[in-house]
Amino acid sequence: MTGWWFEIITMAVAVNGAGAALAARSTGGERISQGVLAAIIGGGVLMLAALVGDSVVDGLDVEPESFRTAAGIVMAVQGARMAWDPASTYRSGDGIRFAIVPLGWPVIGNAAAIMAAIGFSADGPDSRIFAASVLAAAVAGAAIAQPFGRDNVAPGLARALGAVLIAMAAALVVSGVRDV
Amino acid sequence: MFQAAAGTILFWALGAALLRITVIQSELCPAVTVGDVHEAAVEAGLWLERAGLPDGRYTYEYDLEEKAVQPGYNVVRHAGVTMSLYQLAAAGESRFLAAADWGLDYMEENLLRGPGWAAFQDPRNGRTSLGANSLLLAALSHRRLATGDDSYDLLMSEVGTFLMLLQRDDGSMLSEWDPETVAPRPNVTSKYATGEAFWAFSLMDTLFPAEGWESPADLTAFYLATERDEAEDFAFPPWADQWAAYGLSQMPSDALTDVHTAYARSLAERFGFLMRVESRRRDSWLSDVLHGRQARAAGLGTWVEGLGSLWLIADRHPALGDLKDDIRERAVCGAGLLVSRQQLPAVGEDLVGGAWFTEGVTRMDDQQHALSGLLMVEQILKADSQ
Repeated sequence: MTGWWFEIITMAVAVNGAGAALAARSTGGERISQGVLAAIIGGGVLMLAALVGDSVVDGLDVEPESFRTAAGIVMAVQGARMAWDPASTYRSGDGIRFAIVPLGWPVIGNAAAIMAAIGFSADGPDSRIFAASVLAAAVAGAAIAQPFGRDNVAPGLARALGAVLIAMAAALVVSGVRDV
Repeated sequence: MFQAAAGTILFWALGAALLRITVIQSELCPAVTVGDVHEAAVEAGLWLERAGLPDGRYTYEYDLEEKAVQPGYNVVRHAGVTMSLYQLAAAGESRFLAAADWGLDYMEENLLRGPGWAAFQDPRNGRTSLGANSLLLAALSHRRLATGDDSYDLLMSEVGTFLMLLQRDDGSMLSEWDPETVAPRPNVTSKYATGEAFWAFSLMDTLFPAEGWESPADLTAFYLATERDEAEDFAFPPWADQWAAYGLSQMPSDALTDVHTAYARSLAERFGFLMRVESRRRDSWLSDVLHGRQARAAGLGTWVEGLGSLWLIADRHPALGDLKDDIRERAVCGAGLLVSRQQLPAVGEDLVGGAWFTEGVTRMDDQQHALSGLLMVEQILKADSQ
């Protein structure tokens, strides 16, 4: 079982707003539209994951503790990738359609965040995960929309969030192994 | 855009498949009823009864393919098997008293005596161990619980006194008695036997509360909870010690301190993890490679025994109340696995039906631990229906 703060922080670092800002390439007003739409799409993906989390875990015939371990492994891989080279994976182009793919999914609604949302919702109340998902997606959308610091602040911050994600992943794996 | 999406979906699908066959393999827990677990325990008891030998021992190992009894014996397991038969008798199956008494006779015939104490000695090599005598005392305790017969009370006190000779000031237990020096062998300990001794002391305190068994029980309980894992150099503590769990469950609720309940919680976590891993294992080479070989019943049974004991604590002590449902779930899962893996009776095969085989071989303690674990779960399932 995890706590509210653990869930919020994990979702925030898994979504990694700074990494999302690095993936965004548009400029000017379109950038704001991309940020808003990407946040809606990404947040929606994560809320959907949280909504079906119980059913997914039940359907897989695994205990929530075991799923948490798997989520931790995916998060660790994602965290390592972000910490190593946050700018390399996805690039959007100009145009609003890029707000859906890749910015909404799989940048905001990425594998680590989806696994975390499923794992947390199988363990605790869905409303908490909904709130954490909305918050994390909104922060990422704002990071995409804002024009400042993309080249100097975002790379370092994305790496740091990746490192924090690895730590959260380790904690999640340990809790998955230790819980009854 | 669609090309990128397709690539991501393919990559995720491969990752999901990899996770599925490794970390989140389905955890199968066959459903069981009170009747199922009781019947399986009785079948195990019948195997042990049929395995009885003329000299009071049991058939130690049986090879299914060779249809042959394997040589070797272990008196600690002899005492444990006898104890499990008394547990079965105490659970209402008094027909197993004769088989258990037969095993008890073997131990009585091989007693070493000293001033005020008695100890079961291995007749083959003179070894007099803490483990065998702790389980002898546990067997006698369950015999008393099953029958109310007090004719062994003096022997129980004598064996208990022997155990106290092996107890050190910090609660740790030496595991061997040296008949030549008439003293414990110094610095020889056992990772199994300390928990067994603690349980034996706890049972004595339950049966004879005025005789002062509480002190040695408390001393060793504290040692187990705080120092044993480090002293025995376990790499991944806590040691999954079902004997310690038995002992804790025997202690009165008001005697369980925060130290005890924290230790009980750590044991529950360990047993729960082991059970989740076991429920992923299948009888296939791929599963062997990815998840390890299925545990033998002597291992799986101990985890169910441990979980059952901890459930008894969680049922009555608020410090573990939040774990009660999870512990129940894991224990029942273990019982389901045991029932599903038990060998069905085969015509003309006395040592097949009711047993659990691993790589074609069953050992008497496979039946012992499985039987004891199943009886624990029977209590849990009965509590469900009340």
